[in-house]
Amino acid sequence: MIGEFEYLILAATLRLAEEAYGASIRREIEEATGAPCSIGALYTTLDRLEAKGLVKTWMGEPTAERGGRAKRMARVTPAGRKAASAFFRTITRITGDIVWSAR
Amino acid sequence: MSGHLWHLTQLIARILQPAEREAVLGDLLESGHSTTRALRDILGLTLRRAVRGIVPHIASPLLALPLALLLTVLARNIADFIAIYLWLWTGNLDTHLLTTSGYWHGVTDTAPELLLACSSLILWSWSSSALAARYSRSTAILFCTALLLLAPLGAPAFLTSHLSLIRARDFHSNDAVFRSLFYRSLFPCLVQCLFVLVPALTAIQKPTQETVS
Repeated sequence: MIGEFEYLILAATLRLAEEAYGASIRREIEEATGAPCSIGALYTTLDRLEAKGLVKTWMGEPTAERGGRAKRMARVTPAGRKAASAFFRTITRITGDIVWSAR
Repeated sequence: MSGHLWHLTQLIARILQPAEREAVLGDLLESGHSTTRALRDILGLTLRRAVRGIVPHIASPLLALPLALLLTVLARNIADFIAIYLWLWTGNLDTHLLTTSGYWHGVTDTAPELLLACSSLILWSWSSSALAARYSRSTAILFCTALLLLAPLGAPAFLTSHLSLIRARDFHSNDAVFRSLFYRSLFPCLVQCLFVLVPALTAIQKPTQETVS
């Protein structure tokens, strides 16, 4: 089963669709978690996901706002979608009717 | 982004592959975070990349060499222990001694102990080699090569004295045994080859046999 951070990357990449690349995925994760996401963790996890066949990445076109530098684009593969779905189902199942609000 | 820290960030980013460097520096520029955070980010990534690149290279010798050294020290200790009894049993051997019950009592008393020591050495060597092979075949080959090189030389003296509590050859009463070149140098090498190197080689050959069958 994939890990929590792997799930975050898969979910962010799916949500961003055609606009999924390093900086945008990082932004999405930081907004969702409210915690900083390091480039090191993001890129090494992206590599791992790609090695597992859950994500496909490629170099996009250079843009002016990035000082003429290219983006590392990402897309979730069907296997990645299946892995993320399995992770979500497991979390939902194990959570059941637990209410996490503080008493 | 500009300034010394950004220049330093770009300098460190040179360690990365060109495509990754391009994407990462672009991400840092686009994010608009401070240069301190950009520097921290690039340091984190390069460190992770460096560790990923180095670990496979250092893990193999870190596993294989200490195991080989430890087994060599053990083999040499056991070899010295066996040497004393071999010298006692064979050095004064004649037809009269063979008919003496005391001689056979000594042999039957000590032989199980020697057999147990040899069997343990074989098992430790086999399992160490299997462990190394489980990590990678090159680690197991490095382990066997180290055992082969250490067989005639032995482990470094400082290591032997630190790892061995009692060494038979340190007692003057055993000088007569270890004055002989055979028991002093050749026999330990022979014991290491037979009871350490051969089992180690057997352990790394096993997966190949399984694959073939």
